[in-house]
Amino acid sequence: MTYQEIVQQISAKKFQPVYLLQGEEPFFIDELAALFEEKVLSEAEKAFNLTIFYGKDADFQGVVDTARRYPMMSEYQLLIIREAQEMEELEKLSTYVEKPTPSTIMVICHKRKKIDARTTAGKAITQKSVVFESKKIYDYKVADWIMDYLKDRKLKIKPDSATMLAEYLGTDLSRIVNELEKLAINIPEGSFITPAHIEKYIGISKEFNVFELISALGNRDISKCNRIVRHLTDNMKRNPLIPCIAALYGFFSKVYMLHFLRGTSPTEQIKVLGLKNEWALRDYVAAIRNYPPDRVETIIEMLNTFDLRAKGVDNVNTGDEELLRELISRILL
Amino acid sequence: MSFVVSARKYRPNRFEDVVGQEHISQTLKNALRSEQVAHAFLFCGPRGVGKTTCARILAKILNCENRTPENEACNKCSSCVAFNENASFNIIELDAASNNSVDHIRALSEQVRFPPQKGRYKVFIIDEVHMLSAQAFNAFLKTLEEPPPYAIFILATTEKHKIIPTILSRCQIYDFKRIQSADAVAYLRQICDKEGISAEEDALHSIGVKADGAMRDALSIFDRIVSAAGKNITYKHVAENLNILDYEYYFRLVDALLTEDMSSVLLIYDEIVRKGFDNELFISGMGEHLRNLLVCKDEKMIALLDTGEQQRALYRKQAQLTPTGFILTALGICNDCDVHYRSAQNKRLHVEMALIKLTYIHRAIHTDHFSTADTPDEKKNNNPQPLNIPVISSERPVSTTTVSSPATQTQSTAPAPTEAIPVAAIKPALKASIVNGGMLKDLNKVYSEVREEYAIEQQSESKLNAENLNAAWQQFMQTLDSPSLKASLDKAELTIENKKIIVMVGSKLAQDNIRQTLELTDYLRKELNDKEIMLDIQLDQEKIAELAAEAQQNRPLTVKEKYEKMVEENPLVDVLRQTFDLKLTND
Repeated sequence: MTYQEIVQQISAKKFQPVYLLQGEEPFFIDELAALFEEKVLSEAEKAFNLTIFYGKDADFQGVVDTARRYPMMSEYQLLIIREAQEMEELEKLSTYVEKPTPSTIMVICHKRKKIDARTTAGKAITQKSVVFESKKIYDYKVADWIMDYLKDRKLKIKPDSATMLAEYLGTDLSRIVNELEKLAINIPEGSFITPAHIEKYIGISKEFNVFELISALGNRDISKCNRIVRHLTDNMKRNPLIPCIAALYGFFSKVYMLHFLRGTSPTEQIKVLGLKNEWALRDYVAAIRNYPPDRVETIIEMLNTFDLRAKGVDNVNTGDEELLRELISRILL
Repeated sequence: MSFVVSARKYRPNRFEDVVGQEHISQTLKNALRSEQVAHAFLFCGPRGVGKTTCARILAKILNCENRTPENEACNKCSSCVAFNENASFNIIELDAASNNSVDHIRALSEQVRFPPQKGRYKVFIIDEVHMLSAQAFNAFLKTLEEPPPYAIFILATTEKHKIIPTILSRCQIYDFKRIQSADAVAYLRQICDKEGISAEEDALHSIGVKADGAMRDALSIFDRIVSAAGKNITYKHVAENLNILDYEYYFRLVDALLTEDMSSVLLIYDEIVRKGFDNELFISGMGEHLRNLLVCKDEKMIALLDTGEQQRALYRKQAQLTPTGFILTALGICNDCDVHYRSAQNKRLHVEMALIKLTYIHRAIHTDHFSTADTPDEKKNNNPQPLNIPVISSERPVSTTTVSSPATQTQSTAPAPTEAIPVAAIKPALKASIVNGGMLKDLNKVYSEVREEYAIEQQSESKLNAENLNAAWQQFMQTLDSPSLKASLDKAELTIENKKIIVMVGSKLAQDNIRQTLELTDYLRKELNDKEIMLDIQLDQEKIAELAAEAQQNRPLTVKEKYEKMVEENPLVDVLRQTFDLKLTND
């Protein structure tokens, strides 16, 4: 069953006796469990009819005893098992799931992995209950997801800002929601979220990473290089030098290759350089204008020296910050 | 009154006073205003950036009976007073570093069950929360997930990665940033004003840099210096106390190096050693100084320096005087010295040798590829210094004209063009003879060839000017087949700025088109005889608007618009249409 279908069932008050929420993405499981907790019972009914177990210290006997009970002054009783993946006797529940009490709604939150459906008990549980599988969201869909989420919060965001957030925050939805909630606190409803807001409240900026540095170097935008280097050296721990040099090498080695591909078609160039599209080629094209072949050779040699120095060869006391600053000044000379 | 350290005395009491964490204080204040306070917070970040401080401020504001309009605590109501006296019952601080067992967390959960006696919230501040044991975390989980509405948890930690994800997902997480040295300086300045201490900008700056992003460290260093120096802090005091080598030495040293004044170089070094500074510290400091000079070579890069204004000006001045080639070679020598320092038997001699090498850099040829126009390309056949810098003077025939005494020779002496030949020019020539003849037979011959080539290059000066440029531009257009590219080139406006040609174009398409025409730059470089020409293709906003307006005017009319125009000229057309009940079609 999909997320939407379960939400509809809940709001239509059409309940099944057992729900199994499982899968890698804990966020949707948490959301659904919260929805059950909120919508199934009224505030007064909750006092007697809501039971929450935690997988770690829930035993099978206790869970089943509670489940077999009848509701008190309510139509249903709700039983939520959180962190069910940690429950040792989870499989024994199959006996209950085979013949559940109709007035009990049992919600099993099995986070981060799925119940093994190959065992008899696992098969019984998955077949007899309503299963919701919470899949990890694909990274290319995160930006859309962010936009949808913000729409619910009555906030607007431009696709490029959403992409930037997605790139930085990754696919961990609870982390994304944490940051978005902070934005929602600060920005009045109905207004646009700008990159400035994101930089201020979440503290990230697309401008300050190695890839932007490479692009700025390719275009010889000195003041931009300067700003990025400043940011990188201020946060050296988050942006270690060695991967940074590797990324620079990746760039300049391709620039060098491109020097020998002059005159070929862009499609050919993209193919040889292993790029995704013409858009990605732009920085390289800019770079071959700014760095003649012999210069690129020197730069690659320089990157080699600095890579060694970053790893402690021919270097005793010079810190990463210093090395990065020197390297960039030398490239731009 | 007994002495209270600044870090405690000036612990901020209001969000407004918290340094360098505006993004957090702003968010928390907004959350307070809109009553959207989460029930669990996690504050993480490096030491000394204000995590505990913010937690305490937040706790105080939450319980304050009459908050100010800016959502700060009033500091007058009974709750605030109790809090300030560390006597509040509603704020419970737990140091998880020493109370890390399950029992401690159980005791805490017990306390959570009772509502606050006074005020709205019971706030639990758990410091160093990553120290909790695994069992304690699990015991805490349940309390954290379903706390009563009056309980608020604020967890603070330096190590977020040690906290289990189940806890993380239940908290609103705030990442504290390192404090930038400029922020630290501003705060120290405030304290100086309050305490009636006068301090030099550079002095405070060195403290800020030394503190490495932690305000608490900055304040304790500050205290140390105040107790040593009294009410008047100078850079000298700070340098002495923190064992920083005064930057002035380096400036003097580089000045002496530039004038090849070996005696003062060695004297300065002696002075430094006498002051008790470590040789290694000196050499790495020298490297840093040179690196800073390199960074300052470009006016735009000066902002990168993490130094006070005064010092920055000094750097700017010295960077202008120092040739790039010199800096690069010097950096190499410093690094060599640093690397071999440990294996050197006589450390002092080792450093002195490096300094002597530095002094006579001008006399060696630097094979550095980065040498630019302002590098003095002199070379001498007298070779007084015992260097391991590559010297190829032996490949050159004896020339007597350029030999002058070292004392009068400064870097500003311009080399005579016919006598000085850049190394880069020699190299390909040598290669060519090796390829052709297999062996170098006559160095003199090679030399004269190179010299001729060089002379030709020197004579053929850059022809870069507006007239030539336009001519070359037009010529280049003739060679093209693509009409769209021709049009883009034709419409572009050219201006020359130094060696850079700024091309203003009216559309993104034209910009991309011209960018992709790689032959253009080469062609211009060849035609105008200037290898340093660069193209900078920019979008002209005015032109874009103009073109857009033009396009608007000239666009083909739709059927409906044509009809409306006809009606405008002859209203009877419309009567005709109405009479026969005609309709417009798209054909």
